Amino acid sequence: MDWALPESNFIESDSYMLLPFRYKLLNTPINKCLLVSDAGEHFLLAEDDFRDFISKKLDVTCEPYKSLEAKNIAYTGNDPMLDLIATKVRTKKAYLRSGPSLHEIVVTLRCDHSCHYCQVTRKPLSNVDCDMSKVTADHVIRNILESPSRDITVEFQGGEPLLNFSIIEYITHKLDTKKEEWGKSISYTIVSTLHHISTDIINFFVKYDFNICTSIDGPEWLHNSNRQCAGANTYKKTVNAIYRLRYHIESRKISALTTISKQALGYTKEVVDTYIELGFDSIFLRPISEYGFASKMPSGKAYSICEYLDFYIGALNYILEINRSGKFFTEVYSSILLSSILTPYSHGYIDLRSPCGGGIGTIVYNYDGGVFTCDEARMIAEMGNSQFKMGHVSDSYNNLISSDAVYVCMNSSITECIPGCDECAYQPFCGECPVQSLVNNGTPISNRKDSVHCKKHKTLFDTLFELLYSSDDNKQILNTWALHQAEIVSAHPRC
Amino acid sequence: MTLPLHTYCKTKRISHPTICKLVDITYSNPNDLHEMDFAYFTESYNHACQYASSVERPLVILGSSVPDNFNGKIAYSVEHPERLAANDIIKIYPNGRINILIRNSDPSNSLFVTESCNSKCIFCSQPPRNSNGIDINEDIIQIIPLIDSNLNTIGITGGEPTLLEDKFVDILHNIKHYLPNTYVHILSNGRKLSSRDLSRELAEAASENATWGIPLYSHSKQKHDYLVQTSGAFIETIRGIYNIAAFRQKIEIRFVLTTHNAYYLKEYVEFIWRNMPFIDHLAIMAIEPIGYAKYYFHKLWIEPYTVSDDLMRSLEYLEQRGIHASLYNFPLCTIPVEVHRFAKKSISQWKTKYLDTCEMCSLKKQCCGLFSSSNTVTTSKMIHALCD
Repeated sequence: MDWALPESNFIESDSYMLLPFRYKLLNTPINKCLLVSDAGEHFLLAEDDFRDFISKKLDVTCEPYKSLEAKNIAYTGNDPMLDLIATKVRTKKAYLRSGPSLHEIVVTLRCDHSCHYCQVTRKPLSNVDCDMSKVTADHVIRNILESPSRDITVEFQGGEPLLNFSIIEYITHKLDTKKEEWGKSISYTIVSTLHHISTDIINFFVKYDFNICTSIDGPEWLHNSNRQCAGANTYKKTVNAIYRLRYHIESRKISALTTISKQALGYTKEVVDTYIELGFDSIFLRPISEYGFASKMPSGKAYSICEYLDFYIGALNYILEINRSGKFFTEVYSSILLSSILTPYSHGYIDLRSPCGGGIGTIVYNYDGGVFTCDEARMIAEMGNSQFKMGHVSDSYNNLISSDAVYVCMNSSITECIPGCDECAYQPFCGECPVQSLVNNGTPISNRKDSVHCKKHKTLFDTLFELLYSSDDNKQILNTWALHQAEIVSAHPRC
Repeated sequence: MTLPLHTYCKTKRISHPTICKLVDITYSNPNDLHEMDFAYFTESYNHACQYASSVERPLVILGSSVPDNFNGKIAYSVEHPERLAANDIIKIYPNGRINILIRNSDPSNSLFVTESCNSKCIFCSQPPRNSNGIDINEDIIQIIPLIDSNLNTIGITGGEPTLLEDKFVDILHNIKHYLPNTYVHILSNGRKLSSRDLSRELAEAASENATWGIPLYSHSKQKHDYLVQTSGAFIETIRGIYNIAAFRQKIEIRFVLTTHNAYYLKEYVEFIWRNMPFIDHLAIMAIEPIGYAKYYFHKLWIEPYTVSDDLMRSLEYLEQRGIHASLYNFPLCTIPVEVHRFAKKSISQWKTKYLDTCEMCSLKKQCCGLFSSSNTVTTSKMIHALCD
């Protein structure tokens, strides 16, 4: 080239500076070092290359250096482009700007089921004093409207919420009438066994465009064994309700989740196959939690986190096989984690943020007007520990959000500062739960080596990265899960 | 068919270059003419004479017969009358040259606001003539009010429009005022937009119907700076993109495929996804072999088929992530059929040509064709007719 200067003229320096990143060695079969930037972009380097990288020996004119620079893990010259990194980090933390957007309302503790792993401290049907009253409901409505977020999800729970349907109707109707005046856009969800649906209730769901969430633990025998209700075939009743609802409501608005009990271990295929037979396109494989009745479970029903992880990873591999054969079917929790790894956005999952979503992302209103930072906080209060109670719903939103409970929650879950989390390669994608930490280890922040939450997530992330880089097929499939979860719509070429 | 943007004529009493809009008065009322309109005849001779006395506006006559009793400015005996049409905006020179500045029937007219540029891309198809200081195309001020307000799209290009700073702000205001319904497509390297103040002013002045077409040639700072031949260009451009995005302007990123960056398409699209997922469009473009691009063609050109796989994967990657993407200037026979749906008819009508082989091609209608400026050396060796 005559006048054109060669590329070497545009290299600002032969040496480079490191920018903040976290790393870990991924074992066999990947055997590479995973580097993760502050904004959650990642890159794999062979161990030798990694050693060269941190000793400033990489050649800046070639890959892999160029990709490391493009991902803000290193830079040449004088400008580290911190403003660019800041924009990307800000995007990952966008959930902080809106305030609580998930409002969970426990309309009653009454329930006719007696699931052995129940985490709710449910009450028998006769205990109507465990129903939310209109007075309380009015306060709940006021608090929801006073909260700052424009986009709101209201989720009705229980016990079995349909046992107090009149309050659900009352709250929904009032909120819907007032939402425009308050500048809110509201979507409604209900978490229910669906055993009590009726034509009126279905019409109500349709009218307010409800999202329906129910429990299906697995094949009929497993579900009925876990979820007992006075001898009824609870599986059949729930499934019939689902089919009935599908006549009136789009399938994608009806979802189900599992609770993996000890009996389910060893039946991964059957559990997943049940969901496919029932026509779902996703499954959410939740482990038993330790709250509510669950902690009082006889040792025969309890199982370890390792057993859960074995089950989960087996299920995940089976689900990937299903995807490889051409059927799109996702596991929801993995999709949530992947959407954080593979997109510029946060997964937004309340339980897994830094700081966690307690209070600032979600608020839980108990039937008696107690206000809590999250579901788990409400449950431990039932067991005697009110540390994460924000106050009573008759108080103002401002007072509730300024409560000690919220501050402790926030301060205990900033993983950028928690020893162990701060250096973990998965920090940008993960979060902690102060309530779980309190219950398991006695303090809102606990040592990483004692945290079941940490062990679970480290294993999940290890698994997901291994799957992402083990084959192109898996990478493609997992990307579609992430994009689906993040609600990214494909851009077909314009005419 | 190539329809160039110039022709020649004879002139009377046109003493300096004159910009005018052609208004066909063969069938319309001469009283509807305005100060810079030129009365324009689609039929020649007899009609011209008939109207001559009633019309006191300057005349453009396609034929050779000039009315005797008319004492105003006249352009006549147009060499290529088919190149002119009503509502076109032309510049007539005393020596008889006619430049067509705005061709009303063309979907892609551009306003060249300056020749100056602060970059020196090694494949620049319109190299700036070396000048001290920043020139502004003074014609622009006259042209804008004349443009038919029904014009669908107008491009703004140069040189580098943002070099004009306040004057560019004014130009955008004018366009918004006179052409409120016209879609504005601004080509800019975005570097001066790294000034937040300038970005704010330009965003306010541009209409909501504006898109900024900004080139980014690599995920690598040094590669981009090399292709632009300017240190610091990459960082300035990224900052510029962020600034105007913050002011809610629509953004199209343009990538030019060359030997220097073609092998890193996958890294590039990942960079776009992670750093600017908010863009409106990404265009992957083949070089136009004129200017510097012609001179260095042998060092720049890469046959698209050599990166077929990467092209496919990269376009699918963007599509999946909700980013609209297109291929510009790639004849359909040079790219895999899987990406045909991304290819657009991107070459302006007036500079398109096809080869003899193309007459047999079943996809000729959808294909962008070749640049009329290309020759046997600067054309893909893979051009061939495709059968259904």
